Amino acid sequence: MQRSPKTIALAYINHVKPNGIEAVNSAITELGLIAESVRCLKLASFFKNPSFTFEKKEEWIRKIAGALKISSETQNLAVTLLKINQINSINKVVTCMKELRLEQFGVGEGCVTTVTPLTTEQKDAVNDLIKKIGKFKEAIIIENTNPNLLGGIAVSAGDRLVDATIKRQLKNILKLVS
Amino acid sequence: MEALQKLGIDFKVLIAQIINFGILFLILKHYLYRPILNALDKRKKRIKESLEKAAEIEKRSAESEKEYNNKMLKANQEATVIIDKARLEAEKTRKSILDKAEKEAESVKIAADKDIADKRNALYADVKKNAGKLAIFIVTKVLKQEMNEELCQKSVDKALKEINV
Repeated sequence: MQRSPKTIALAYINHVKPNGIEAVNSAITELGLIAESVRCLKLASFFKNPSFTFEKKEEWIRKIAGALKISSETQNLAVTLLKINQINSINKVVTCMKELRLEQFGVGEGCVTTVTPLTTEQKDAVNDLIKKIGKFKEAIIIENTNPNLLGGIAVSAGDRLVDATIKRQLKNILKLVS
Repeated sequence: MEALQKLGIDFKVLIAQIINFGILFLILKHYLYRPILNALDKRKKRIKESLEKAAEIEKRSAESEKEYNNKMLKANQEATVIIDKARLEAEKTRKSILDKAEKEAESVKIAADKDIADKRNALYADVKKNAGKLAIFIVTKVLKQEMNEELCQKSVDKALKEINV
């Protein structure tokens, strides 16, 4: 039976919810890692190919998950997705889980990009900022570094982006002069 | 009588001569003098007619000349009118051509001015853009060289402060 990514996400959230928000966060992170690995290793066609047995595909999932030190519970979820031919929808499941986490726990993700890693004080400030701009109760910071930004910070949460990087400021100046 | 005889004149001969003269006169008058007179009359009449005709011709000629002169005058007047009209028309055409040419020249000038202005503006914008790009490129290069971790952290702190404000 074909299930929508949202249904799968809801079922899994409800399954790990009794263990608290940390378990939900961990599941989302782990599933996100598997999704990223599937994407990077270009395994979509492998999983779609019927000439490979389910056992072979499961073996690969387990191998990847093991290498990433993914919990057995999340591994089982990935295998379930494989079983119901939804492994290539893993990204959609992750997105739905994030939406459900926000709905049920008020926890949202924010992405921050700087030239160098943030200090603890800066992380706290960014956390507050993400909560403020995403209207979240709690925020999860996803940190990225990009030396091309030259300095400053870019924060995105929900559908909002605050770009206070030096690169952006230079672009604004260029726009003004031309 | 005797006196006539003394002079050598014979009265009878004289009478005979007078009669002869009278007869000759009558014959001449009848056969010569009258036709000559008639001919002279005819000639006179013919001359008179010729003169009349000549006068008539002269009169007609004068009238023709007058008519011709009138016609010439009229023709001259008409020609003058036509020439004036033609001159006026030519002047009008000349003016119209000049006006048109002036207008065309003006429109060409306006188009050329606009073209020049457009090109100048495009060039100015291009120079401005490229100068801006170059400046940004230089600033980026310098910043990449000069930026260290401390400066980066400071820029993050400053940005966070500005965002929160």
